[in-house]
Amino acid sequence: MPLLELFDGWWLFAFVICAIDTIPQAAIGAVSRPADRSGEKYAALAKELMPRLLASARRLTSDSDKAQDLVQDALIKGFEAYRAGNLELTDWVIGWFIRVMSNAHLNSIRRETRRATGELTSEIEATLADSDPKSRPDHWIEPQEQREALARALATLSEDHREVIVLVDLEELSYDDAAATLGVPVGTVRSRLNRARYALADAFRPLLTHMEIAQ
Amino acid sequence: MNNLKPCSHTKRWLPLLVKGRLHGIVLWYLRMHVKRCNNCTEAIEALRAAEECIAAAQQASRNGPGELSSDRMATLEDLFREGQPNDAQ
Repeated sequence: MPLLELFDGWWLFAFVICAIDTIPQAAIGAVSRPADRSGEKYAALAKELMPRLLASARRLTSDSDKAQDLVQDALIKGFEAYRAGNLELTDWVIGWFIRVMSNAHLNSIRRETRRATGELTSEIEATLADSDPKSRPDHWIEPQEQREALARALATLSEDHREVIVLVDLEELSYDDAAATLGVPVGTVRSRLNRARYALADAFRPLLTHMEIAQ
Repeated sequence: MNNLKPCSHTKRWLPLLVKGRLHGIVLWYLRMHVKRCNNCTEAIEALRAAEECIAAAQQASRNGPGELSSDRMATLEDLFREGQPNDAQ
């Protein structure tokens, strides 16, 4: 009797093996294997995303060479992550690249200035001090200076705040896409965004003081 | 440390007011409130300054090339070609 039970067990085992063997490879995740992550597929995505990524980089920096560097570095990082199986080419993959670029750029601002939050704010004041608001009745500072001031102000924020501002306010991603990119619930994006907007606004307070003095 | 201290009941709405996304009675109430509240006025002005810089950055991003420079493209194409599964074996 025990021998018969063992025999039955082998039948079951053989059945399962056969069943697995007949399942199409694509259905058991063959697509996501690192070996199948072709450069061709990634290159096509990179080409498709490039105008959008360059526009995003230009939002972060007024220096066109720096913007190109940011995009190139992000695409290289993305390729490495894709080949390693750490990046999926999903609908919201653009968010991943924007995060990489903004973190790289804003962290470099932090490193370059090597100053604490309050001193970074002084940088914004310095940017404004160089401008002459009286000669520009329509704008309180030049757009390029505004972008530089924005980058410096963003650099003073925590990473959580900075990322949500960049994704939602600067890049105008939907709350759903931002949540998918950040890996947090939509409700967290909303609440974090509100706090981040006030933190960013706070970084701009010295500008307002300067404006009042100039007027 | 955030030095802006808007009223607790308006805090949620002021950023939306600056972005022009409020309508009806909420908009009417906030406008009335901000007129006589210094803290909220200060918050609105700072939020507006940030918003103007964001708008300037968005505007600037619309002008510029849609592709990387040719040397950067060549570098990337080489990298992606080397990454082909057949080449990797």
